[in-house]
Amino acid sequence: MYKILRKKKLEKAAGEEKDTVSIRTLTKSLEKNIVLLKNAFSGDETVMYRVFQNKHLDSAKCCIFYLDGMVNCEIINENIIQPILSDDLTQDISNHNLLDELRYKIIVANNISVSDDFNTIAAALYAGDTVFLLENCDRVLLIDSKGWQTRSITEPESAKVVRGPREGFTESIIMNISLIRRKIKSHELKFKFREIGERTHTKVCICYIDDIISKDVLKELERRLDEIKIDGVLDSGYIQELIRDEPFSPLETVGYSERPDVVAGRLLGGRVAVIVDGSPVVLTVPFVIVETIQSNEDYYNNYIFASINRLFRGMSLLLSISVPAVFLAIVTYHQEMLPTPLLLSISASREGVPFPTVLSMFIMLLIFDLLREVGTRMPTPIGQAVNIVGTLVLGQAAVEARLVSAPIVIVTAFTGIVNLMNITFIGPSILIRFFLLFASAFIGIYGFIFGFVVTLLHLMSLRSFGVPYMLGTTKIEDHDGQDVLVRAPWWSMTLRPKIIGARNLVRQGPKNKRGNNR
Amino acid sequence: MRNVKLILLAIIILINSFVTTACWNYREVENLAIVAGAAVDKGEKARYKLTVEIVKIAAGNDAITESKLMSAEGDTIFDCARNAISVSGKRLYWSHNKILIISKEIAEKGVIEMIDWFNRDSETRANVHLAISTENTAEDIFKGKEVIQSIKAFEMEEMLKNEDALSKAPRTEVWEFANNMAEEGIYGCAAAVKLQKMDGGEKTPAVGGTAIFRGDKLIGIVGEEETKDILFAQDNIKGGLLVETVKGKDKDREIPISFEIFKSKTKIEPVFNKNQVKMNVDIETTVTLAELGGCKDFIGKKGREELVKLSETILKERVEKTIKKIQQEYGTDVFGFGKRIYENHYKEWQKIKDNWDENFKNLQVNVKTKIIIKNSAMLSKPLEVRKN
Repeated sequence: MYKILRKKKLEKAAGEEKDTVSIRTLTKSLEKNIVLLKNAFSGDETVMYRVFQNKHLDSAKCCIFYLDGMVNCEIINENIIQPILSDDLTQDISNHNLLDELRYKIIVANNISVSDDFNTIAAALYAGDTVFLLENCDRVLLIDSKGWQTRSITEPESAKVVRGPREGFTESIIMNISLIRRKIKSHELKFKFREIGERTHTKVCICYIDDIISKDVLKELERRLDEIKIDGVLDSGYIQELIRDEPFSPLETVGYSERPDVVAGRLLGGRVAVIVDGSPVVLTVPFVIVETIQSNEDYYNNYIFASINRLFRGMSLLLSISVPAVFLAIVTYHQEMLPTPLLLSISASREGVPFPTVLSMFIMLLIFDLLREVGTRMPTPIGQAVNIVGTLVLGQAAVEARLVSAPIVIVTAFTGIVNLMNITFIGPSILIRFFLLFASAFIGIYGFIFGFVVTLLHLMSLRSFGVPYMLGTTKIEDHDGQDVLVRAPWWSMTLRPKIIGARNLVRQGPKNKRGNNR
Repeated sequence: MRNVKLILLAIIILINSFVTTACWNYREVENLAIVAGAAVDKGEKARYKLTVEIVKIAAGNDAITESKLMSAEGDTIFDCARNAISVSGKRLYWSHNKILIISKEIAEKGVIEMIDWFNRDSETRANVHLAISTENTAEDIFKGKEVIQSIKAFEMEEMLKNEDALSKAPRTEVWEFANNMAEEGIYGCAAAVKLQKMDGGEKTPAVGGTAIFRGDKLIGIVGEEETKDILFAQDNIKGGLLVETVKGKDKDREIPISFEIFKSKTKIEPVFNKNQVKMNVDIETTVTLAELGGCKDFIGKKGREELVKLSETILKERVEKTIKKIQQEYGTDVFGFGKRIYENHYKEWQKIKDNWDENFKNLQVNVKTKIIIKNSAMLSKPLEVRKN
């Protein structure tokens, strides 16, 4: 019943819209056109208009509409109004088609288009173009005069590097595209635009290197983007969630970065980037789990040092999910596995603590995640207070008051630190950590292993745009393993990973092997 | 709807598997009475009296541990261990037990009952060190005074572990003893512990000497120096010193010499001659000259050869003497000569195994020794005394 009602309502609304659109057609009269546009944008007082006329040529009576704040006033003043107002148009213009003459000879702008469709005009106006109307003409000029304030290019706060380019994406899609284009000057680098969001009309750009990527991934990505029906897209996060595989998994199956060099590197590795207007975060697909522990700095530093760092990151990924669970299992189920002195010291610290180990472990981990969240939300000046309360009250005082035992605080702190090593893994790791903790709280190490196997099975079952999520981690004899736990030297990485860069495997010719000065 | 049913079913099965599983073994560390060492004596009311040294932990951030003794009687070892609950209130936790001391009195009747429980139970470990008390009771050992650590059992474990650098007591773990009990051609042995007087009259536990078994019965205890010879013959020397005195230039003054053993390898090879078996024991020891208490040059080529020859003879004589003593006094093959024949010459072993114990008493053993002096530590010459 409700469905039928809703359908009728929708049909009605659609019909009304059609009526209003059909009325909005331009006429030859400038007066009427101005009224038409004024009515159409009534209620929006940022829509500005100005009527002016050439002093020599009376027929050159014109009017411009623009959105205050979206345009560069200098362009309008000097390139549109000034030439028409002050030049002697009678000398330049033969008068049989004034609009085209103005377009070709008088107005100074890099991009001018002609239109008579109201929707196009409106869209151009909202994008920052100037609408130029002329007496006795039922068409208008759309003159590019975009000019709004954007943030300058700075290094992203979330991913700073010691070595490597310091630029980061901004909120402007055009600027972001230029940042990528500046890194890859190839005619195979393609940018495809589309608009998503029924109300926001957000520009979304698919970016890829045509002769590397797998066409299947591209086709699948385009299909998923086309299927999106949403009223607004304010950040790439919306798109990320709408196009991802396995929507219920806590693990990310779409990658993202704020750095042009990272995105360019992934493009060269055969991935497709999705740039969303208004978001400094660029998405990349397909995404595999090893990208969690890869850092752009790995590729700029000496490969031995980079490999060590990457091993640390891989280790901390494992530790961040398993340390509390293993600690709990050993301390409460398998005391025989502890070295005797350690057992004695743990036992001494537990003496007089009222809560069981399981409970205090859960509570401390929750408190840590609470503090982390508070830390991210806090304005920087208040953040220090959180630090003091967190370290002093919860760390020291809780142990001294015998609310928790010292080893639990140590385990929590250690887990927290290794967890922060892989920023993109913080979200999933919370869930996995508590799952494993829960499992080992029930049946000790046996439960931990059970939970770990379940997690591993889940990871193995994941796909990102048809690419296995665990790509590169399951076998090492292949060249796929060159860039997983270690970063092989550049001269040996002659091939791209097989499944992602399916169409063009050769990264560099065999001639480059081991550098030129060997 | 079908999915919901499936999920519900899975949840029910999972909950059941958690709730109804038997081994719900969650226990908090502070509720354990951690057993550090155990001593078995003859009981007054029941068959055995088990004395355990428990680690008492004082509350605090630093683990302050105290030794606490506790006894319980019972007809079996496990019975004793469980009866201890009525004394301690907590269940004894055996996984960190380091040493099992058995009194002489009980060991002479047989130790299989203790060995069995330590090998069989899931909580006790089979790598508990086995020791025989030379005092009146095994309990007495724990009543001694500790020296460095607060827990005597841990201290004794350290002693036994560091025997590698001393070679004055065998380091036998319960599993090893159990194996030796079962195997053909070898008898087990264990370390002997005693109380030693310290300054001030107090006594402290000390390890030294070998308890010699026949089957599971104790038949005798030999001293520390003889232990070293047994270890040489068993090929169990990991370190330790060889101390001897030789004649120097002054006829009336002897030069004491210590060698530090770096590596020692003993080859035991049976030789068959018609129906007679002979054992060749070849000891090859690499040592350094760690101490040379005189001016005579034993480091130069000539002196060294002399010293080597002298030391080889001394070592050969002492090992031969000890082997003879074991053969004649105890007649127990603790060296594993029979085992060597069993392993390498199975056919011959079949013929002689039935009266091996008798054979062993009259077994001819040829000891050959070879000493390699690797260096003379930090000094390359003997110290000199200026002559006036």
